[in-house]
Amino acid sequence: MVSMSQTVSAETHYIPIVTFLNGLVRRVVEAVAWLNVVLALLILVTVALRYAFHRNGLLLGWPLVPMEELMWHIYSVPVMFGLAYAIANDTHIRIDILRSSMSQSLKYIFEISGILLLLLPCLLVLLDFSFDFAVYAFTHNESSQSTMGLPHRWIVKSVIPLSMILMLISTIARLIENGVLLFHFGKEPRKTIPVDAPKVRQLFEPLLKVKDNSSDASTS
Amino acid sequence: MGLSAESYLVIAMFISFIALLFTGFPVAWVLAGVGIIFAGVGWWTDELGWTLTGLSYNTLGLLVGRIFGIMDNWVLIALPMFIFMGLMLEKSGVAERMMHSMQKLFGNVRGGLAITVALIGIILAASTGIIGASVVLLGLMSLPVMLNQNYDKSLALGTVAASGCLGILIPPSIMLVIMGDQLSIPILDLFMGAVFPGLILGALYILYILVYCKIFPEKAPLAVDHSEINLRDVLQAMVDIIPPAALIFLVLGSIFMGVSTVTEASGIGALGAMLIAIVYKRFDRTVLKDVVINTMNTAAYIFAIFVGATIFALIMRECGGDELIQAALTGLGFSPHGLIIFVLVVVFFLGFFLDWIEISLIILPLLAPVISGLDLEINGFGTVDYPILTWFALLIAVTLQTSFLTPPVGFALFYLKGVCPPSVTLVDIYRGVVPFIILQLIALVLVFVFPELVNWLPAVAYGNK
Repeated sequence: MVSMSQTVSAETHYIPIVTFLNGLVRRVVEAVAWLNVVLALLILVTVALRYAFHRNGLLLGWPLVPMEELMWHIYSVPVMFGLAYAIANDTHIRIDILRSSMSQSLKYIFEISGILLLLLPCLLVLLDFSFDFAVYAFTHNESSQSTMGLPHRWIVKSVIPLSMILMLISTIARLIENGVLLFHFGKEPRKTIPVDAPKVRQLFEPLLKVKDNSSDASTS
Repeated sequence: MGLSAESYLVIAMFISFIALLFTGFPVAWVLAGVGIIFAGVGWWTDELGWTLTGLSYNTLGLLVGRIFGIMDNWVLIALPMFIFMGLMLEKSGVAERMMHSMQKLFGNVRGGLAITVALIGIILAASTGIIGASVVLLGLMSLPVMLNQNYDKSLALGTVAASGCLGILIPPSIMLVIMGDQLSIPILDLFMGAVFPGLILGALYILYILVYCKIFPEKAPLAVDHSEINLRDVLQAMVDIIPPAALIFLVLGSIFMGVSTVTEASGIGALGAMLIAIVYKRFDRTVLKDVVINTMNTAAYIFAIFVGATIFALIMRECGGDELIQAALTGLGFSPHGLIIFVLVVVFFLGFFLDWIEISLIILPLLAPVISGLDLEINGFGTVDYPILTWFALLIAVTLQTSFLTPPVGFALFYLKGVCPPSVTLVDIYRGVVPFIILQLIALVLVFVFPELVNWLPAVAYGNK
């Protein structure tokens, strides 16, 4: 008899390649998330400086203009990279009214079609154009329009293609996860993977999560 | 009325968007994907000679510039900072402290507990602006206490749901930041415009609780161990309320008095919340990391909708969607006030399945030109630049609040159900929110009839400068 806990699902199983790809995205984005603290501190310093400059009547703008530009440079990185994080953690906003009553396999099918038809084309188009956008900024040595602004605009402009790449990684991870889960849907997970199975297959095999080991061992 | 071929594209775009939303695929990517697909469809129908959209693959190149426009937007920096502030305040335990000490303070008042919840809702409304977060926070904190004290279930539930929804209206609400950005009106005006509607709502809630408990004293029993208020309790309450109140006052005050910009105030607010957490000894590496990552995640799912809506809107505009919607709205033959009521009713129903994020980012930009073009005499006192839009934005805000509270599918109700003890049914919640929906409608009508409630404060503030 196949008990519910033995079928393959995202709650009880993980897929090594998916875990690896999502882990990669999470590590990068969690690191840049700290820029929000830097941003708050930068704002504090800017406000303090503005006061100091006001008091001395030195309204020359420097270093306030570059600092204010630095603010949005810093703010944009976690925001854009976070898009990939929200895909990896599945926290983007969904309309749940119908979804909550859908069968699990229908959810997988909608997710896979959505990724293939809606998300991936969009990411590829944006990657294509944003790559040119950043390269153009680099080759033309673009800088801020303000005379006292920051140079090297290509750095912040390359945030867009970079975030597209991160989003591609987490999207592909989701695609693999949903694909594998759909394929294994309702099946009893294999007890062991054959030792001589190719390495690639081991990457895509849903494995039991360790923390659920004890409860599953008792039922089987 | 003959529709142009391009109009059919726009209509098809909207229908595909709505249909695909219900598959449960993330809203942001449905918007983005439908935009990209219809760029292809438009190009194809052009090739066939059916339409003249001028869409091509290169049109999509414009999108990168638009996305960069979201990144180099100086005002939107305030968004992650306010989110940080809210999450940090939540973690700092100010709410629990206020709950604890105000409970004592109002111990001898029937309904005191409910009033405490409403007040915390008002003070911490600032905190997130994410409906789910404030309803869950208030619910987890106060429901067990109220039910233990044998409060009427419906009164308790209604208070929590309604107070949790105040967050999207009361400044510094992140919804107002986004609305200001989308309508191109100063956020300062919206913040100040929201003060009176927010206060009216808060006052109506508290008044209702007081009157209700006077009439039905058995529905809100006093705590068994209640005692006379002594000076120590009063002082303790002051001590517990002052830090968060001072922070909000500092943030809003500096914005209102023109000392700092919204962006600067948001950054200071974030650090201030951190300071409160440190003083309350709730601050450590784990808490900070948690807040940092949650801030990034929350900001990201909001910005995803920014990105999606940008893509959708660009393609729709290329197909002439803006003109179509404007023509359709003005072609309905409503009077200016009638049109606004119509729009509010539509937004009310949209609020059943769309969050304020989608509504402010998709619907508002479409409406803005129609609304600002209306022949309405809205008193801006000669100093408010966009009196009609400011007033309209706040009408939308109050409407959305009401919508989120309204059965059967209001957002707040489901978040609340998630944190209720199992003995509470959805029907209890539905029954509880009804009086608050009526209060919301009263406030909505007041704001609608007296636009001065919105525009007077910003006008006075500008007058002083």
